[in-house]
Amino acid sequence: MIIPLDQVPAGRKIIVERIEGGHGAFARLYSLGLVPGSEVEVIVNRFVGPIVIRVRDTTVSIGRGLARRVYVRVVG
Amino acid sequence: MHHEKSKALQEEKEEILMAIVGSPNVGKSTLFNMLTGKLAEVANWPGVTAEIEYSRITHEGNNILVIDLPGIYSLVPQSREEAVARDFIIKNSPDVVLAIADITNLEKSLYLVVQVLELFPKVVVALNKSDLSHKRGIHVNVEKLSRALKVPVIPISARTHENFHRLLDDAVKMAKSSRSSVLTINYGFLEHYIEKIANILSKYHENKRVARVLAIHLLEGDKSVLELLDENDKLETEKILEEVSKTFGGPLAAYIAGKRYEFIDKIAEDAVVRVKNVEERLSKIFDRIFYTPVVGFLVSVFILLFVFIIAIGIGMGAPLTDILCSIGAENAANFLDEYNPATLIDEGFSLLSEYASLSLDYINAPKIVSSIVVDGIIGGVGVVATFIPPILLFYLLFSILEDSGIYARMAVSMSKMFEIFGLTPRAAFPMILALGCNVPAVVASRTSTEETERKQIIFAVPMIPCQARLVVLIAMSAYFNIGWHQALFVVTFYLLGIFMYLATSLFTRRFIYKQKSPPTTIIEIPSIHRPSLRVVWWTTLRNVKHFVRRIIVVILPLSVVAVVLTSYGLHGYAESPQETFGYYIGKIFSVLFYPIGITGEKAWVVGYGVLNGIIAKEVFIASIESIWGNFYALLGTLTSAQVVALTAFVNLYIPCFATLAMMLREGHRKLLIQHLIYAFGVSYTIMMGAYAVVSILS
Repeated sequence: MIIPLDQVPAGRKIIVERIEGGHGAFARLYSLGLVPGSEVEVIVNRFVGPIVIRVRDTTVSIGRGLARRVYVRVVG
Repeated sequence: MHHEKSKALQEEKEEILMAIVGSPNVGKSTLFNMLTGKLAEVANWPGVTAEIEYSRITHEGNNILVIDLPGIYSLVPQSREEAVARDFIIKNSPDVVLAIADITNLEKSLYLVVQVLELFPKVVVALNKSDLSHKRGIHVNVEKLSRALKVPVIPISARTHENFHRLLDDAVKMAKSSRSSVLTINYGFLEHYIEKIANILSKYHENKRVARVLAIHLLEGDKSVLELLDENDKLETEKILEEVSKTFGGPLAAYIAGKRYEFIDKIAEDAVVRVKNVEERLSKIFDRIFYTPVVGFLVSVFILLFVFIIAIGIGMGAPLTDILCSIGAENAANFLDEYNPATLIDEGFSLLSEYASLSLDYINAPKIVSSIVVDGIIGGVGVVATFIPPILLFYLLFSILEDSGIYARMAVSMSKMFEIFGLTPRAAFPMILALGCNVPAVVASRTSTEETERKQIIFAVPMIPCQARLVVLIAMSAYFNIGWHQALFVVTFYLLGIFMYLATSLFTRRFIYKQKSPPTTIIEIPSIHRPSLRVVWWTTLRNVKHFVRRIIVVILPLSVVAVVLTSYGLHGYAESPQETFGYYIGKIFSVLFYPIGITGEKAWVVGYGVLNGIIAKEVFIASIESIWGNFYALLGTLTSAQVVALTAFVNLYIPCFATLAMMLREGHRKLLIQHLIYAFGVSYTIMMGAYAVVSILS
């Protein structure tokens, strides 16, 4: 099932399916390695405030607005 | 002209030009400082818009000019800084580029390194933090990595100086080599289009590899590549771009970044072994605190408050002296009051101006010269100097928070609150700094990575009551006889100031820059570790040095203007304040206070005080005393509603000269004019509102 990243509870592992966005802030996500195919672990998601994820051994906090446009598949 | 300068800087001495590139957090600045061992110089370089730091070293008889390029995440420009780094490499073509990766964060930090390798042939890769890798359970086969990237890879530690000698050996060797091949990544179906665009771009860039890289950057969304092109070529290129996006649905930038990561992952799979489950106990404890709702936020606010009290308190006395007094530690309070660095510096400057004034009298210097030298230059520099201790402490404490990884977690906990006001947690640092002095806070707006947010911060910072306004607040609070009334009065205006900072930021974003959504917050969270004191010290010193350099430029001419306004009138040097230009202007201001019932002579005096408050906020009181004799005598004739209303106005109306000048330097003229209208309008409205409310209540 493919859902937006902001809907994934903490502790789950996911794979990025697609990102709905082009330039600007998304470029930072891409350079962090958050691209289609990346495996990501959701560390913190309190359903308000930012989401903390772990991608390629880097921990990053991203705003909900951005997370809403990253579509992922839950794998673990 | 700049170009000639750099050529002269470099070639006369047959120096090797070595540029350091790296992402924030990989320890780039630490490496730069440790390599060069001294504070950097700043210069302008051809083809780039910002000042760049450089320093000179000698290695085995080779003179090396080391350039510290700004920390960036990607070579594709998203911000001014990123454009600076790429354009520097393209336009100055250094003899060698030192690309820094972080061994504890290998794949991610290789992303930038790979981009550098695509663009430039003579690169040496430094694998920083290698002293930490085993502790974190990371084992890297450096030879394999080096073979895959086809350039030397040296594991180093910027903290412990490990392998510096080898790194410089290899850098010098690379600089003297004639290596000309670059890394080529296969971008799959895009290759066809990259070639087409590169063909067009090669008319403008002699170098084929530069044309290819710029073509890739264009596909990633960097439209600035098109700027050089003539109309025909631009049209043709745009046609190709349209064709690409028609055949490919999703964002191209993600596809390209994905291809780079594919390449990196393949290398890493071969060269890196990770031992799983390495405990990061300390990080986990901090995570638990800061990621807990409400608790994390409160702890963050408490830490910010602590930074404020320590920095200002130890640097300048108040409000720590007041806190010490209230807990009964009068001796400590008195000691701090007399011997804090700001007071000592102030006394030093008083002695200096006394001496200067005597000497100038002795040689019969004209009055105008002595008043400009003594009150203007020495006085002006003196005021700035007293702010150096607290600012130094601010930067010191913030560097510790930042370098240890604590600040990133605070940022996460405060991120929602800042988002509501159209800001990111980066706005917290200028906010706290502004409580000390607004001027460095305007400079600190640079911590923001989004240009709009930076402008918002510049626009909103003057709403925060600085130390000078605290002096005025405390003087005004003397109107109330009961201790807790006074405290309530002061705290209320602090909270009002901070709220106005946040609200003004939102206003600026929505109505001046017309952006509906808040800036996006992406915060990298490093693991918690003990900060390196040397790193902290370097960062602090560098920031304070920049601030002092900037402020001296603005403060000197302003001090002279201030002296002329307050000591001269139509008939030259004025014997009493009533004959000065300032007094006449003050009379114009006096009209403002008629609606709250302050009229006649009293209104003139307040108007004169308000004018002086623009020169420097704390002078509001002294200037009123120079006419009325005693400030509290004037205060006693006012009603409580008038006091509250006046305080609100004086707190918010117009920033002081130095802040205005810095806003102009960091922002632009339009922003300054918009701010003046806004601040005046808002402060006047609040004054009238406060007058009405308090009048009804009392």
